[in-house]
Amino acid sequence: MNVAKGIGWITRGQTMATIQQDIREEIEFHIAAQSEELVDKGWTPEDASREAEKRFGDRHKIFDQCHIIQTGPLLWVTRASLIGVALSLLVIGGLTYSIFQLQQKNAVLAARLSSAANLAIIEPNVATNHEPLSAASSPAASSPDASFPPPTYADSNSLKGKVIAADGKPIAKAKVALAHKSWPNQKFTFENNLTETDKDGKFEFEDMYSTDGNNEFLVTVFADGHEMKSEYVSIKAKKKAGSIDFKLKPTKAIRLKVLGEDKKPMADTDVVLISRKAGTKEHMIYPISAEDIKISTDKDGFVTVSHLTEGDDATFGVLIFNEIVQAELKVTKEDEQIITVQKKR
Amino acid sequence: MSMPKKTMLLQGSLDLLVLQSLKGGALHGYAITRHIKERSKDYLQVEEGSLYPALHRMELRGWIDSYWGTSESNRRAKFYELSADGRKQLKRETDSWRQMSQAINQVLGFQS
Repeated sequence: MNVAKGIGWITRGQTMATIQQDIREEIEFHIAAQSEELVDKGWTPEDASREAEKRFGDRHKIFDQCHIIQTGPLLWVTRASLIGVALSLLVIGGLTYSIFQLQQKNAVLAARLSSAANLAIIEPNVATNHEPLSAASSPAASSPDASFPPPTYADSNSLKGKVIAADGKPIAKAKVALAHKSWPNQKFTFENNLTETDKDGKFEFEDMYSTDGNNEFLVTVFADGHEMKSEYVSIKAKKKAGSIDFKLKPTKAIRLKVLGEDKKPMADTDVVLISRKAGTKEHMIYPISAEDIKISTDKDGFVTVSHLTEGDDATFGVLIFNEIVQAELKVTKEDEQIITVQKKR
Repeated sequence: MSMPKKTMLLQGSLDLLVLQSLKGGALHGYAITRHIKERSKDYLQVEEGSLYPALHRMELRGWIDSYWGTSESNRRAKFYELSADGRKQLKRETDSWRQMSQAINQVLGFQS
């Protein structure tokens, strides 16, 4: 493996997380497309989905192969770093425990000495050489690094749009999430943004992109009592985006009970609606973009969701120990429905 | 319904077929498999286990570029397109394939 090529993802400014997300999404797309084709040929959606997954083969193996190609030898460096961090934590933990033990012994000794001879408490002598870094001692903190000048762009453009209801009335206070990928000056960037619509249903992400390079936007709208919708916009260099407008149908609220793998309700757990598929159209948000859209279950494991309509195939992300685990739901007309978290093995 | 029969591709021919598929314009991975299957009248079917690592490898070599776009079903899909280097590579691989197939045909007596 050519190391220079293997580290291309760093020079492009990509993170390990975005690379992994891209590979996962590419695999998901392939399986979904295969499944759709089988449905068109008369398979039931369930059978088609199973068959598509089977035909694709070992997705974890393919993911690993693509990942290693993209990240090259640095994948192993990263894994070695993680092992290093784990070992360091063990050492630090051991030292902390030793210091704690020493403090305990000193405290007992001090108490004994104090009561026996009325002496002052002996403080444990834990010397520290770690002075806090001041601005003066860290020139880099007080002045910009001249070797990394801020990038300059030819122009700066806003991304605008409007959200209206099915009856044409504007929807105010709708949450609009934006994931933006760009390739200016041969460098890849990825950022998330969130805003709300104003009283006229309008939203604007100011100074969002330059026409220096290619730009891609995933805009996702969440308005209470209306379906979740997204639009994917891809713009080549030198081009500007037009207005991104949404017309949302009304929905009714669903009380959703979230069950864990053990079938018990998951209380105080963060949940986010990642995608809804209505027919062949799919609307989605990146899980990593959904931090401000998430909702928490109550003590009985319930959340109220009002962005889905009957017949939708919805996918939820459930945050368990910093890991997003997916749970799927075929939306029915029932007011109360259940999703069960199942970790993929 | 039965699983479609898969015909193994000759080693080294996958890159050629992928590059040739992209000659007509950008395609996502699934469309590449469809293209190869249809153009070969269902005789060749690309294994996904080979396709995606090959696409990522070819991208790294600079033969193809990728970008995210929207599929027919409004789903985000990663599209691949031939780069200038890829066009040169396609020509090299096509020439090489032609020479090899001529040589094999001559050995088999299909050509004089």
